[in-house]
Amino acid sequence: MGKKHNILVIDDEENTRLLIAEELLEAGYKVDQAASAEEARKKIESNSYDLVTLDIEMPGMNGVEFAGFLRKEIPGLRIVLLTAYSHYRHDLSSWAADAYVVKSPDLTELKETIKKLLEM
Amino acid sequence: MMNFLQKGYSSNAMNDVAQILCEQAQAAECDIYMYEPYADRYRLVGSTRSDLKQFVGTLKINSSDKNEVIGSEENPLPVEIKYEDKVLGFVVLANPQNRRERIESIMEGFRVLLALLASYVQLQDEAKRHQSMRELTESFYRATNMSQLEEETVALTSKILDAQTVLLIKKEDSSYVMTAHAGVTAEQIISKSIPLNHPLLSKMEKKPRGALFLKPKLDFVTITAKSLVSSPVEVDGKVLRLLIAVNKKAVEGYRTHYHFDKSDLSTLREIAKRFSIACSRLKYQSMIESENKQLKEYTERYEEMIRNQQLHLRKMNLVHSIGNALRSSYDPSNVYKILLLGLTSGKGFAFNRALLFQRNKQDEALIGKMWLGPSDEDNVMKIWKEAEERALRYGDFSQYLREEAIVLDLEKGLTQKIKDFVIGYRGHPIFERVVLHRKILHITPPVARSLGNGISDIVSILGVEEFVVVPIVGRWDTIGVVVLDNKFTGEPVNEMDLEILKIIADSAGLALENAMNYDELRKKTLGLQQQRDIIDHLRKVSESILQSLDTAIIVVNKEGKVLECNKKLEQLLMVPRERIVDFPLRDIGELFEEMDEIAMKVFDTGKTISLSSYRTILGHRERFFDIKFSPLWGASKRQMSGVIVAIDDVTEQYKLEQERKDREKLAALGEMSARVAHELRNPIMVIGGFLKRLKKNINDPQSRERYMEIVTREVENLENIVSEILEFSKEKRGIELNTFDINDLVDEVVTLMEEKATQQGITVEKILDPISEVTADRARIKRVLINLVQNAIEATPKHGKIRVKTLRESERFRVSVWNSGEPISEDVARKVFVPFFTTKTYGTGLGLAICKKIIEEEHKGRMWAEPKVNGTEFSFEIPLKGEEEDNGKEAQHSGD
Repeated sequence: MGKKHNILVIDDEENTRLLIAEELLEAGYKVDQAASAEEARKKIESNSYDLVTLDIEMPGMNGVEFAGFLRKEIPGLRIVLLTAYSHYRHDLSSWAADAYVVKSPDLTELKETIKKLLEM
Repeated sequence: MMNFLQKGYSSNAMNDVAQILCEQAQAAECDIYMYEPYADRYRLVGSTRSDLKQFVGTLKINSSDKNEVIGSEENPLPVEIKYEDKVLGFVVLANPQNRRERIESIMEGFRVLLALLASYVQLQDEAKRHQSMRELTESFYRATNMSQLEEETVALTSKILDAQTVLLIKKEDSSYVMTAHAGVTAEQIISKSIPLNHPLLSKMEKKPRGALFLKPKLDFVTITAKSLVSSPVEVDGKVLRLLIAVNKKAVEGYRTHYHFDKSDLSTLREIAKRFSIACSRLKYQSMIESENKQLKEYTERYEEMIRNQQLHLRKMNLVHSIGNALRSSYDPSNVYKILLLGLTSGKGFAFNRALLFQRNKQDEALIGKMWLGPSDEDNVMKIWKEAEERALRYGDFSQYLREEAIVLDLEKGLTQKIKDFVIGYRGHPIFERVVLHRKILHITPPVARSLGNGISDIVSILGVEEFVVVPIVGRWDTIGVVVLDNKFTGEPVNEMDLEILKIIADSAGLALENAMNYDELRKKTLGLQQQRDIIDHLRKVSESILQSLDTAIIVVNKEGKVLECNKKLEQLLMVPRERIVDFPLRDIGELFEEMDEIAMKVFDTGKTISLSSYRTILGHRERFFDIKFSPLWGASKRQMSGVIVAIDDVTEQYKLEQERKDREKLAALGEMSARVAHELRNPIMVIGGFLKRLKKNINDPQSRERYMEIVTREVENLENIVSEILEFSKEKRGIELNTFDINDLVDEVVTLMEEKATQQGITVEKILDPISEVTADRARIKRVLINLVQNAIEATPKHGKIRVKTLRESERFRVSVWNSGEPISEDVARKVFVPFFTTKTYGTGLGLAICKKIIEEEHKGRMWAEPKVNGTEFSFEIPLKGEEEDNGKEAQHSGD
């Protein structure tokens, strides 16, 4: 792992964002944050990211819509959806998102998923 | 002597006889002379004298010279030989030495011998003649015609008479005509036709007993006649022919005569007589033959007549069968079909084709209706054969016609060529006569050609020049026209058929008229029947409607007495009709105690009253009814004759509705739980996550401090969420109603929130109604107001505007909070009150859901959000007076 992967964490809950960001920094990634789809779009325009984590329930453009947008605009970008709803899994994993992770205090699943996606 | 007779002089037989006589008489010489009566002379036939022998047969002595010739020398004494006074000849004996008696005895023997011989010859000739006569008679009987008879007559006459030539001459009106001849060649005949005034022939004609002519002169044939016999042939006393025999043939042997003699003449007369008889016979025979022929002709004509009669009878039978079939149907189109079938069937009239026109009296036109017959010339035989086979299956022709007509489809084939084809009959050379004068017309090719273009319309349709046009005449008038032809067989139309066609056409006309009348009658009857049925039906319907209605009906009068009820009501109350009708409504059952009053109210107002989901206990069961009280107006519509109470049992629907509501609640609860879980998962993740990090970094005081702070904040957040969830999901709680001024409440809330607004540079405006007293739970309304203002501040960009408005309406009070933020979509406006539907970063997402609950469930008001031109407005309405809860009973009055 020569170059550090650049990850953007998108979530409207500040503390959730913080938690994910701190864990990912600690795991050795370069991490940026965005509180909404709007903010994320601006950051993506000026920076190059390898992966985004995306909360589904957000005010404004929700995560699902935004994932569709990202998939179309930036084909190489890996997308991980994060949500409290477990029943979204089958609907979403098949198309826009590369992976789907249910929110949990234990971020191990998230980190492993990210690692796997970035190694591909 | 026989030798002499058979072979004549040249046999020298008489010389031998003379020698014998000479020896017997012991004479020197002997000569024998024979008498030839036709010339009255004697001929030397035998002699012993050597100098005379050379003259035998040629020396002839006339009767008068007899004594002179022989009386001279040596006393020759002629000894006359006579038999029964008939002179046969004489014998000269020269110098006889025997005794006179002996000589005479010898002569006597000779004389007898000669006589016998003469008799023999005569008898032989007679026998031959008789034989020939028999032959003649037989041949006459054989003869079948005159010319044959004539030919046989001349041939046999020639044979019988030993005639050289025989002629048969017929007397005609202007001349004699030789009709038959024998022994004469064509070259020898100069002329066959001889004038009536011919001297010889007219002489012959005048001799009825015949005539013998010696050396007559014949100028019509080149024959030298030595002797001739003739006899007229008389039939019925009239001379018709002359039979003539000319020249006797020379015969071998000696005869005393060589010309025809009297006996020949009598024979000829016999022949003539027989010929006459034969002629008569032939005449009668031919008469009989002609009679016979005539009789045969009569027989044939008679048989023909019988055949015709039989044919006629058969056709009359057909007429009968067709007539029966025609009368059997009451469908006019079927009657037409039967008629056409009868006319074209091989078992019927066997016309090749039958074309039917119907008459349209108004337009004076004939309209093509149907055309029966093979349309395809190639398959004619096949089609007829098949039709024949079908017809054969029926013993009864009438039956065949009826059944064939039913299955016969005349819409296709020839019919297509003439369907609706129109020919005007007025002035038409054929159809005017047929339609107006009811004439059957038989058009033959010459007639067709003479009519020329005048009938080109029908000729071009038919493609033939011979056809029959038959009117179909009903009781009063011509209904239509049938055109018949024999296009394929080309057979001419039988005249006899025309007569019969007339009968058929008349029969068809009557049958058709009957069928049409029947059809009309049937339609009329059907119409009447239908009307009666409808009336019947309506009566039954109105009767049965009342009885079979699923709604229980009861009619009461002004005194509250039941006038009428239906079955459903009996079933509902489980009380028989007898216990309901005429009883006062209030006595019928619990259900009706209250209803009596309502019914009386309807009498008073004349308006319909409806109760919905009226709850009652019937037979220990909870039941719900929709009940409608309607006025029953009298005929005049001025006076009410009663009140109709219609009771619908809606228990099932009501219960189903309740179940549906319960299900909806459960579904909402399920969704709610999911949302709650989601809302809780975020803070739990954060708390858990940071607690883990805290544990990891417990020795870093800076991190420890930050993590503790985050966890504390999230726990507080969690607490808020839980308490709001509790509040939202709490059972509807009782509200404390107090009357207060809502404007004061608005002031209080705005003041409370002003600081926050000012921080954002937001101005808050108030438009307040001067009359502002409401009765409601003040604390709960305050909570709603705070929520709305707080939401407004959050939705408004910096330096925006908020406007709070109060408005008193007739029975309600409205409060609205407007903000100048971006207008929300209609979709969001609908969803915004759904629990946890949130568009903002802060808050639990239950605030508006709780507000809606307070306004709508607790205060029986209404709450909504709507996008405005330059912002969004949230509003709520509450009744001026706090609504009391009811138990579901509603009474609505509606004008009728």
